[in-house]
Formats: sequence, structure tokens, C-alpha cells
Amino acid sequence: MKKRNKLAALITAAAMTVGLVMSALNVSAESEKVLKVATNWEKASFDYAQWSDASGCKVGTAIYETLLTLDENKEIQPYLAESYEVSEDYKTYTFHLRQGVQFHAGYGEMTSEDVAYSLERLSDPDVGAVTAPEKAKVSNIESMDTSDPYTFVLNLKEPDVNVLMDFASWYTFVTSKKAGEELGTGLGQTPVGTGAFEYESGKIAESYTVKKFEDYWGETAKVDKITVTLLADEINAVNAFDAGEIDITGLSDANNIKKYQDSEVGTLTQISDNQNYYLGMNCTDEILSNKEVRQALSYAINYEELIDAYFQGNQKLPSGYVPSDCMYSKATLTPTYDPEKCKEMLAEAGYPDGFTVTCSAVNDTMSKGPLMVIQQYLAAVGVNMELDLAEYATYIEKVRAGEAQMWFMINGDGFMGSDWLPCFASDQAPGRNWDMYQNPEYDECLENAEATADLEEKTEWYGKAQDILTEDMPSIVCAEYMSTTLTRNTVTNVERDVRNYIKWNLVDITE
Amino acid sequence: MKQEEEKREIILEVKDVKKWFPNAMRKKSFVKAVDGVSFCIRRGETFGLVGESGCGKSTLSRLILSLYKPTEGQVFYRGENISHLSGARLRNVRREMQVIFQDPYESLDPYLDIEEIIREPLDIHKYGTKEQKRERVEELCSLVGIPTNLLTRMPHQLSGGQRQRVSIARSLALNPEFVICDEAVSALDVSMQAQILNLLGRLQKDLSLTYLFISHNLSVVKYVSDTIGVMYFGHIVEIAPKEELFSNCRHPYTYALLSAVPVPDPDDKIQMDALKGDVPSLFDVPGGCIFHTRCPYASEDCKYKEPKLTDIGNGHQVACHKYDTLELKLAGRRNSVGKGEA
Amino acid sequence: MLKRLLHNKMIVAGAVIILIMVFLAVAAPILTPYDYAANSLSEMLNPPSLKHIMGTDAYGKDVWTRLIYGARISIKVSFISVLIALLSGTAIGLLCGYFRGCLDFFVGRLMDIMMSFPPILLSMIIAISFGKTEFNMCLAIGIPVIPNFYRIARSEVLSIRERTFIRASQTMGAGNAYIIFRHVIPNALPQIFITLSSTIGGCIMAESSLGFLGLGIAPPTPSWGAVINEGKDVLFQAPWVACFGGLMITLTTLAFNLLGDGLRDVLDPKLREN
Repeated sequence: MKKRNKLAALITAAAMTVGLVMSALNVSAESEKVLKVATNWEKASFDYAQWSDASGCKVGTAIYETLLTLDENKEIQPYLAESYEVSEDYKTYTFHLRQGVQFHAGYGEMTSEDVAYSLERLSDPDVGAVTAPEKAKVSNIESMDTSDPYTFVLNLKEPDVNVLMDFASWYTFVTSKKAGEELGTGLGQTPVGTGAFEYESGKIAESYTVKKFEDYWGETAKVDKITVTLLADEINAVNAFDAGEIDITGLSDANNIKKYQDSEVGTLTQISDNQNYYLGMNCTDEILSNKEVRQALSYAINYEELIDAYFQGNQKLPSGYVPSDCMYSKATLTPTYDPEKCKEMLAEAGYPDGFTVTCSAVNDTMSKGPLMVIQQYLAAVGVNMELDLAEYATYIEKVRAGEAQMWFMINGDGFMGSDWLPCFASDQAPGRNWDMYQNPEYDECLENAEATADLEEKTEWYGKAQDILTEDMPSIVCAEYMSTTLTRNTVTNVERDVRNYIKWNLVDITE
Repeated sequence: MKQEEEKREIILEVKDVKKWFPNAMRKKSFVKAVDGVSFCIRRGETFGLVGESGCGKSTLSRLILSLYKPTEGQVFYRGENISHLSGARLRNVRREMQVIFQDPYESLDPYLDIEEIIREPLDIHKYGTKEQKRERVEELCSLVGIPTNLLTRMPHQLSGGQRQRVSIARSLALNPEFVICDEAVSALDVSMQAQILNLLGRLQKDLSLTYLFISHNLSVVKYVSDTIGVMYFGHIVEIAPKEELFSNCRHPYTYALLSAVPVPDPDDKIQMDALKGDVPSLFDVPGGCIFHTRCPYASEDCKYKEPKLTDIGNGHQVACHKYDTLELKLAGRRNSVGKGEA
Repeated sequence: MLKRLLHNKMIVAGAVIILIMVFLAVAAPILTPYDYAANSLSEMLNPPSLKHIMGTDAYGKDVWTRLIYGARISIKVSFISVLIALLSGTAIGLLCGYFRGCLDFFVGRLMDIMMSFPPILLSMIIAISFGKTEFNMCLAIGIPVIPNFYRIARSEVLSIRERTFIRASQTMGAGNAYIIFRHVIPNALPQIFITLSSTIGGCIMAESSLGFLGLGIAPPTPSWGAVINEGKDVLFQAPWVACFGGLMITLTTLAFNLLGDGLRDVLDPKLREN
């Protein structure tokens, strides 16, 4: 009798356990759609004012929005603003705001005051904005008229033909005035925007969650939540993907990409990421200030082998200083591998036995990997390149101060070539001009390009600027960066806009 | 004889020496290891210092050797105050004054061979050339009876007696005048004790040494000493020439010690009531006479008044208020006089 | 003495392995036809074969070559760092234990603070602050283990200075310096040697950890830690890189532990009667 009771008890317990486990699994599967995204780096703050480009936050465009946007033909379209007018002298811009746009976390409706506040705060020292105020040209603002809640008028000091483009860019994201005044620097931890997703919990550059914003003015999101996790080492991202913890991640290592080429679980998409691999050279350095030396070094790199063998075809040959899919790009480069010519040129320049240089780079797979290959190419022509690897913040400080003798990094400034080319301007040395390149002729080309509103003229001037760069070669473009994204097959509808931002509200998860 | 003694130079004089150690557990109280000790030793004699364990004998020997500095009082070696010497002057004095320790194994460095051990004082004081040192070492070996083939051995390869001989050889290396034997034979077995004691006696005659012989073993002390000092709890209670002490002891503590020495005589009776009570605690030192808590003859006086060492003639000193009234005779001893009276 | 050392199997085994490693490091150029820095992009991540007995890494470099050249750095750095720790830790411990007093108190508190840091953390802090030269690496690895030697030296001295033969020397007129060099150090040496051999193993692991964290010697100079660091990125596609690197470290650390165990047996005073 006792034995039978014991057996019965055991069976019941087992059944209960199995039932509980199964129901737990079921519960999590049917309750919420959570999209799990991995990123290999993010800024330390949700506050867009502290970013240097839109990738400061992986889901930045899901949280914040701008007054205008770009369509597939790279033309300006309305977004938070329904329409706009530009004065003939290009000094007054009037935007008619969409009505009924709500901010996250109950901060109310968007008005012209919020737009003005979003621009003003870029100048506030407490906010600590880095490059945003320059890009938004805040110093050129004469005044802003917010008398009508749904009309925002911008009065400029000097005429500026590029303002519309600025209002389609990340540095003019709109945030709530009320939230800003209430939270102050707290906006960096709990952002408030108008986008399809609002902040729920967590910490940026670590792990956080954004949830569907029910009162979104546009098409409500399909998934309920997006979690973003920082995984700096690609191997961790790969392992997480295999374990089902991550649905979307970027891949840069050729071997990892190869692994998933025939995968049944995920799909690889290659997109041009508006960036190049640059090997920068400090033009104020004793050895590298010589143009002949810089040009010589460009012959030392075996571009074909680098792309085909090291990157296994996942990157593209360099085409120009501005990556080929960007606006205003011109294909000026003819990458040639000729180590003999390199050695000849170096000898002529006074370095028959080569020389030693130090190259700074970030201590991660993406930078270190190709750099090790390039190091050997240079060694083959007698140039001893010593590596100075540091973590990101230290590296950025060094290059921004113009202290690196050589530097290596994937770099770019988004879709607009006109945003990237000023990185070689004299006034950015030191600053964004890590090569410390100073050429008044180049600066003039840029000024002329910015002064005209005519697209053709702009393109011509920017083209001339790129020709000058090609001749002077302050940096060597080693490869054009194509980023690869691995997406789980259960995630559908991953659409990107012309600037390759994912339209997060359209993404869906199927079983 | 008395006159001869007085003529002989006083090699070592200890004058009212005190050594108080701060009590780690209670502030402002001290462990009074040595509390006012005075005596002197003449050239050529052996002064035996006897007392039970913990009475302060070892502390006293370290005070004499200047390993401790006295809290109060002075130590005079050949008239020179050595209590607070240091540096080269101290080193010079140390050539004259040597010591032989109790533990024959521990007193030799286990990592040096015998030759190096004996040679050490010569090295320290830069005796001479290598050959001269070697000669001296061999000389010392023959002096103490160590075969020279032992010179290459390590200490652990020698017996206890051999090791003690090595200690002796080492201490004689620089021709000292004064040697302290601090329980030098206590760790040896009886037959070995006899050999070493005989050796020490012979060396004393041959090399004109003066000894301070410290021991808790009264029979050994009796065997070697000329004068004996009895120590109790940091105080000297009685000093007398050997025969005088054994025949005419005046201090109750000395009496207790003497009566406790076993004698191989079946008729011998042990005085059971010579001592009463327990040894006092180090932290609770009795006032007045240091011995009064255990003395069968203690009176009110003894509780409050500390007796000083008084010379009572015949080279005999005693620290007791009742020295002239007590009749302390040892019962049934072959070499003592009279029957005891309680 | 030597005979007794050679009779102890553990000492012999340990010593043989260490000698092999040192030989590999020294004779590296003749033991491999490859250059440790030369990439071979057509041969990336090749498994072990006759051409590459330990396979190739993510740049096509021969793993065997990188490991035997890496032995130079790894062994040299661990030796130097343990030497730094030995000399300074022992000296400080000796002085503190012998002279006691204020010196002992303050140094002791300083050592307590050092010991409360996890050693790898301390190594990292030093490596990051001082910059990446070989000597700084030795400091980064050596400094955190100074307390090991300090503790052993000090405790040995504390017990030795109470021993009778020290007192005997003092009564003979020996000065402190003489006593320390003639008596204290030889008596403390066995314990210090044992600490030495067990600490070297730890130092090799520390060098590997620093290399693994990217704080070691700049590439392309190989060290065992650097090889494992690169190997971790390709662990599933090319396990041989990390595994062979780990093997070298394991063998060497094992060898030093064996040596230490054997030494402890041989130098034990109780066994000396035999």
C-alpha cells in the first residue's frame, strides 16, 4: 500500500513540474514580442546632444524624430513638420508642425516651444553637447519664433542654404521642453522623444529595453519591446545568437560571416555603411608631413589580398574619400599594390632603410584585425609600425588632440559626404581632423560648396575637394566598409531607409 | 683565605640591577623579572647562581651580557660600567665575556659546519689569516676534546655532548676571561654532564677562567661552585661560600631548596613543611619580603618591610629579617650538621 | 645535496620540462622555418598539418612558431618579475622582521593593502598606468606578488631571530648586518626557494592573463597570453590556436609546481637526518 502511494506521489510531482515548465515556456512565447538586438558599441548617454552621429544609440531613430526626413531619392520630405517655407534670402525658415504628436511618458503634445528648446539646449554647458551644436550651426541662429504652438520660425544671422538637410539629421532631434526642465541631465538616462518606441528600463551601452509607444502619431510598432545589449567582442555576439539570446547583430569578422552563409537560422544582409577603413597619417609629423612619403605608403598595401583573402570578399575596394553610397561621393582613388615603387619613393624621399612609426588604434577585433595585416605589408617595405592599442575613450582623446602619429579606424560621418569632408578642414585641426591636414585650397572648396544652394555646383566643389585629398593623401583609404547584419529568420520586415536606418516600427517577429 | 679572596680582583659586579618588562595586558604594571640584584664575582672563582625556573636567572644572564639593558642599576666588568655601552666598545668587552647556552642543538647554526661555527668569533673580530684561524680552531678542538675529523660535519650529525663541546670551543676562541654557563649541562644526560663539568673545571684551571654557573640543579651547582647565590623571584635571597651555605644556611628559602635535594639514603626524611602555599603569580608580586607568602616563619614585619642583603660575616650575605633567630638545620644529612628543629 | 635533488622524481620531472621550454625559446630560430610575424592570408585558420604542426592562426601565422618565440617573452617576463618580487619582497620582509618597530608596522599595513587587491586587478592597474614596455610588464606582474615573499621572509626571520645561535652570535659581538647575512638568510632560504618556485607558476599565468586582456606586449610580438587572446576569438572555428597556447602554459606551470613540491621535500629539516 505504501509503495503505491509513493509512486503516485512521484508521478504527480513529475507531471506538475513538466506542466509548470511547459506553461512557463508557453507564457513567455505568447505574451510579448520582444526583439533582441546586439550592438558592439554605443555612447554612454541617451541624450543625442552628446552623440557624434546617429549610431550613438542603436535604436536612436526609434526613440527620437526630426522635423523632416529623406526619401529613397535622397529628397527632403515632411515628417514632424507637415510643410515648410524658405525665405529667398535663405535667412528665414518656417515650419508648420504636425498637430497631435505626443511625447513619451506623458509629457504632452509637441509644440514649437519644444522644437526651439531642443535647439537651445545644444548650447547649454550643462547639457555637454559635443559636435551637435556645430553641426546644427546653433551659433548662426538669430532668433526663434514660437508664438504659434504649431509654427516654428527660425531666423538666421547669415544666409544658410543647407538648413533643410540639418532638420532631417540626428542633431535636430526633438525632445520635450517639459521633460528637459524637469529631468535636466536625467535625459541622458531616461530619454523622452516622439518616436515609435519609448524608454522602459536599463542602461545604455550596457543593456536596456524600449517598449512600444501606444500614442505614436505614425504607424504603431509591431513588436512590443526591443532589448539592446552591448557585446563588444564579436565572439560573444555570435555565441548569444546561437543560444537564441540575440536576434539581430552586426558581424565584421570574415570567419564569423562565413559561418552563417548557409545558415538555416539566420540571414546575412550586407549594406554599405557609409564608412571607410582609414589609415590616417599625421601631417605635422616630421616623417609623414612629406607628401611623397604618404603617397609611397599607399603603394605598400595589397588591397586585393586584403579584400579577398582577409575580408573574404566582405568589404569593397576603396573608391574615394567619401564612400561610394554617400551623397557627393566621387570615385577618385585607384588603389595600387606596388611595394617596389613604394620602396623607391621612400628612398627618394630620404628613407632608403625605411623608418619606425607608431599607429594608434582601438583594442577591438574590428580595428586590430585588418591593422595586423597592414602592419606586415608595411614591414615588407621596411616600415616598422608599432602598435599603440588602447580602449575607445583613450584612443579618441588622443586622435582628437592630433597626437597620434598614425591611426587606423573605420570612420565616416553618415550619409552626407558634406558632413564628412569637413574632417579634413583646417579649422578642425585639432578636433575632427585627426590627420592635422591643413590646406587653404581645400578649405576654399568646402566654403564654396557650402555657400551655394545649387546641387550641381555643390557636387562640383565637393568633387574638387576630393581630388585635392587624393593628391595630398592625408589618410590612406584601405577598404570601403560594408557592414554585415545577421538577422534571425523569425524576424521579418527589416526595412532600411536611404541612410540605412532600420525602420523599427515596421519590424515584426513571426513564430 | 679570606685575605686572599679580598685581594683577588672583582671581575664582575652587579649593582642593584632591575629589569622590568612592560605588561602587555595591563598598562602601568610591569613584570619584574629582576628586581634589585647585587653581587660580585672574583677572578678565578666559580659563582653558582641557583633558583627555580622562572626566578629570573636567564634574564639576569642576558643583562650581564648586555643583550638586555637594565631598567635600573649597573653592571660593572672589571670596574667599567658596561650597562649602556654600544658599538665598538661593547664589541671589545664582548671578546672578554662569553656564554655557553643550554640547548646544544639550538646554539649552533644548522646551516654551518663545525669549523665555521667555531671560527665565527675569529671572523667577527678579524683574528688573522685563514691559516691562522684554522690553526686556532684545531687548537680549540684539542682543548675541548673534539676529534678534528668532525670539523667538516654539520651540527645535526653530532651527539649532544659533542655539540656542547663545540659550544665551549667556540666560546673560548678569543681567550675570554669570564664565561657564563647558562644551564650548560641541563640538557645532557647524567654521564655526559659529568664529562662536561669535568672539562669545564679543567679549562678553568688551565686558562684561568672565571665562571658564572647558572642552574636550577642544586647538586650540580654544589659540585662546581666556590660561591653560591640563591635567587628567588627576581631577588637574591642569600649568598655564601659553598661550605658555609650548606652547613649554615640562614634563609628559609635556601633551607627549603637544600632540603628538597634528594639524597640516596633510605633514612633520609624530606622536610614536608619547609614551604607552604604556591608560587606567587608574576603579576601579583608580594610586597615586603618577596618570600613571605610561602615562608613558614613569616611575621607582620615580613609583610611590609623588604629585607636587604646583609653581610653576616664569612662572606655570607642573607636577606631575611629573622636570619639570626632562625635555626635552619637540615635533618638526616650526611654532610650537614645537627638535627632539624621546626 | 645534488644527489639528493636528483633522486627526487618530482624535481627531475619539473626541471626537465622547464629545460625543454627554455631550449625551445632559445633555439627558436632553428626549430622553425617561419617568421612569427609573417602573415599568410591564404592559409588562415588551417588545422594542424605536416606543414604547420600546430595549425595557423587568423592571419595565417604558424602557431608553433608563435608559441616558441612566445616562450621567450613569457619565460623571460615571468623570471624577471618573480626576481623583482623575490629581491624586494625578501629584503623588505627580512628588514621588517629583524628590526620590527615603526618600520614593520607601516610596511605591514602597506602590504595588507596590497594583499587585499586581487592580484590581477593590481597588475592591470600597473600595466595600464605605466605603458606597455617589457620592463613595465615585469613590474606589473612582479609587484603584486611582492607580499608573498614579504610574508614568508618576515615570518621566517621572526622565528629565526629568537633562536639561540643568533643570541650566541650577538654575544660574540656580531653586528646586525653580519647576523643577517651569515645566519638569517641561509636559514630562511629553503622556505624562500619554495615560495619562489610556486610563485613563478603564478607569474606565467599572470603574463598570460595580461596578454589575454590585451595589456601585454604590442602585436605582432607573440607571447603565450597573446596567442590565447587571439585564439579565443576563433575558439569554435579553430580551437587549436587557444588549445596549444594553453598547453604550453599548463605544462610550464605544472613543471614549476613539481619543482616546488620536490624542493619542499628535499629541504625539509626533519628529513635531513637521513
